This record gives sequence, C-alpha cells and structure tokens, in this order.
Amino acid sequence: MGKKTLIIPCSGIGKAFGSIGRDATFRVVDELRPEKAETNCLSLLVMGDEDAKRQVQMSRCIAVDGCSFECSKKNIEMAGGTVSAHFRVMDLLRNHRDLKPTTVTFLDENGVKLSKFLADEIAEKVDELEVEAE
Amino acid sequence: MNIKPKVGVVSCSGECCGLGTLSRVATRLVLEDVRAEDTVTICLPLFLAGSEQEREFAREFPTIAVDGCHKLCAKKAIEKYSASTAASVDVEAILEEWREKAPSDRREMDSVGIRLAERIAEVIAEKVDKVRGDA
Amino acid sequence: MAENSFEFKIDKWVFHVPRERYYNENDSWVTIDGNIATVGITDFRQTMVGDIIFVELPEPGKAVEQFDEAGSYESNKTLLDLISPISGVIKEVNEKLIDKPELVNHDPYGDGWFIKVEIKDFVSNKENLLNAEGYFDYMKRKAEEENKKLKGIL
Repeated sequence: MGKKTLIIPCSGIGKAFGSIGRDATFRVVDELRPEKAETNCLSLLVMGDEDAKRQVQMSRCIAVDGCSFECSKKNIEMAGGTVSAHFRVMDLLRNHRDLKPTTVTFLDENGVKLSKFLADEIAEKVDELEVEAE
Repeated sequence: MNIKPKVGVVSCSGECCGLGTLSRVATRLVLEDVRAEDTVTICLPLFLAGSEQEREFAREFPTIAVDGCHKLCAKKAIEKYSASTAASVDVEAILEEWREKAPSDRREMDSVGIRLAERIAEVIAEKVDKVRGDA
Repeated sequence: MAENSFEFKIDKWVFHVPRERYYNENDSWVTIDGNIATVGITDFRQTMVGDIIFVELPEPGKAVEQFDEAGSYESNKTLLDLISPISGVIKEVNEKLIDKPELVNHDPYGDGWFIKVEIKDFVSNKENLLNAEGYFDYMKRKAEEENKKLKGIL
C-alpha cells in the first residue's frame, strides 16, 4: 500500500456539491494532513491513465463525492481500487440543513463552512485509516 | 426557424495543479455568463459513472474539451467514449503562448488567477461561436 | 426506462412520461392497482428540483383529499409539497426515502414512490387528472419555459 492516503474528489462541475468536495480535499492534502494524504485527477482515471490506475490500486482511497451519482467511488472501483472510506457532500448537508450553498464557481459562505466541516471529517478518517493500516 | 443546438463544454477535473482549477473556473464562466445561452456542461466523471445521457449528448452535439494540461484528459475521454471533439482548449499551451504562469494555489484563486480565467473563458467562447457558426 | 413511455429531449436532458399512468399539473403521478393508488413525482419534477436530500412522509392512516399536501421533499434549491393526485386514506409510505432520498431522483417511477393510498372515489378524481399525453404536452411547455433553469442543474 502507498504511504499516503489517496483522496479523490469528484469535482463535479455542475453542482455546488462538487466544488465543495474539491475544496475540502485540497484543505486536507494541502493544509490539514499534507504528510499523510494526497490527491490526483479523477479525469486521469476516466481517461484510463495507467499510472493513475496503478496509484489507485496501490493506495488507501477515500472517495469524496458531491451527490448520489457517486462518480469518484465508481471510477475508483472501475480502476481496480478499493474505497476505504466514502464521503458525499449531500449527506453532510443533511446534518447542516441551514448551510445550503448557492454558488458553484466560487464557494459562498455556506459552501466554505461546509467545506471546512467536510475537511475535518476527512482528516479524521485519514488518521483512522493510517492507524488501522499499521 | 433554425434553432442552433447548444454546445457541450467539458472541463477536466484537474485536481493535480492550478491549471486544472483554471480550466474549471474558465469553463464555469462560459457556462454561467459569457455564453450562458449557448452552452451546457457535461460532467466528465459521469461519462463512465453515469448513464448513457452524457455520452449520447457528446455524440449528438458539438462538444468542446477544456483541459488544464498537456495530458488532455477531457479530450481523450470524450473521444474514447463518445465522438471527436468539435474543438479543444489546452490551458497549459495557452499560458505558454501568453507567457503567463499558472496559479500556484489550486484551491483558491486570487485576482490574477481570476483575470486569467476570464481571458481563457473568452478563448473558449470564440470556439463556441465558431462551432455554432456564429463567428 | 423499461416502461412504455413518451420521451422528450431538451439539450442533454431526456424526460420520460410512462403511458400507463395519470398525472397532475403539480408533476405528481399515480398508478392504480385495484383500490390502491401509488403516488410519486415525475422525472421532469425530480430533474428540476435537483438532488433530493430530505423527504417527509405523512402517517399511514391519514385521510387525504385530492390536491392536499401529502408529504414534502427538499433539495439544495427548494422545499416542495407532494400534492396528492388522489383522495383516500394513506395505507403505506415509502420509508426507504428517509435514508435514501436519492431514490426519487434515480428511479422516480419505481423505487422512488412516496405513498400508497386506499382510493375513495377515483371516478371523480380522474376528471381532474391528465393522462400521459396530456401531461406530456404540459410538461413540454414547462420544460421549454424552464430551459434556463435546467442549466443550473448539471
């Protein structure tokens, strides 16, 4: 298994959920857990890039999906990877009903708050998965 | 009355670097502002994970791929699963031509990055116009 | 979509309207099996609403009149009432929707059903309902008017 946990957001371009998942992933890999987590382009998996597929197969993967289409989870699994944890932004919204995001291109205040909540949850999961793997 | 179909614009997801974010933001600007009436987006991950809807649209309607870098994921995925793209934008190549640097922060875009995204959106818009025969 | 349906395409969206159902102008559908009616929302409505994240369902045993509210569904964009196309007594609700509201989006005519109603008077209810052709025409007009909003969905 790769040393770092691989987090793949769906980055769905049509919905706020996709932007939030993407933002949260960057918060985790660039700020909260840079030593323990990394990300890569979901597009590479869609394209069938062999290096990306190998990385997915060799890593603990966390799928961060915006909605119930679950593109990240499905694409990871189609590439032969195992999804060790799965987050869906729409599920997060169920616990934060008052934080409905309204923008997609640049996150609004609610989107930023949701991203931060999600990033914290993902970071905790990264820690858990690392302990389980030891 | 001859109604022109909308043009699909597909961006790479581009998590790896600022180029991907630039590609994504530029595409969003086209979809929601610059050519809002003429374009529709197709979510690239849905090409594999979703129903036939996305792939069928890219087969039936002209589609422009917007890629952050030379790997050209969006272009290649569309061609693999649907049909040839009507046009393609390689953001990395455009920045080289303009002698501009990609944003270093892949999460948040500063005003310089936003201005770059706006310029790239105009490039995409020109391609939309050409594809629709409006140019 | 296995059921025999009308289809309407607008850009990349395809809306299905099964032929063997009745509809109302609030985009609810109803099927009849003996004296039990099953109610849900249409493909068009679930697309316009977007990802449904909450569903609230009425209690079984509750009486409902045609055009009454009989539950609600909420997405990131909006909260809407399910408008009952039928009068009767609610016999069963689809509890799966509580934990998996996305069933409404993924299978609006199948697993995404909302309520089952023991019918009181279908003959008079039917006068206020649209058949599939009627709803299809109505839906097409609405879809064309709402074309701009479709862009905000995906």
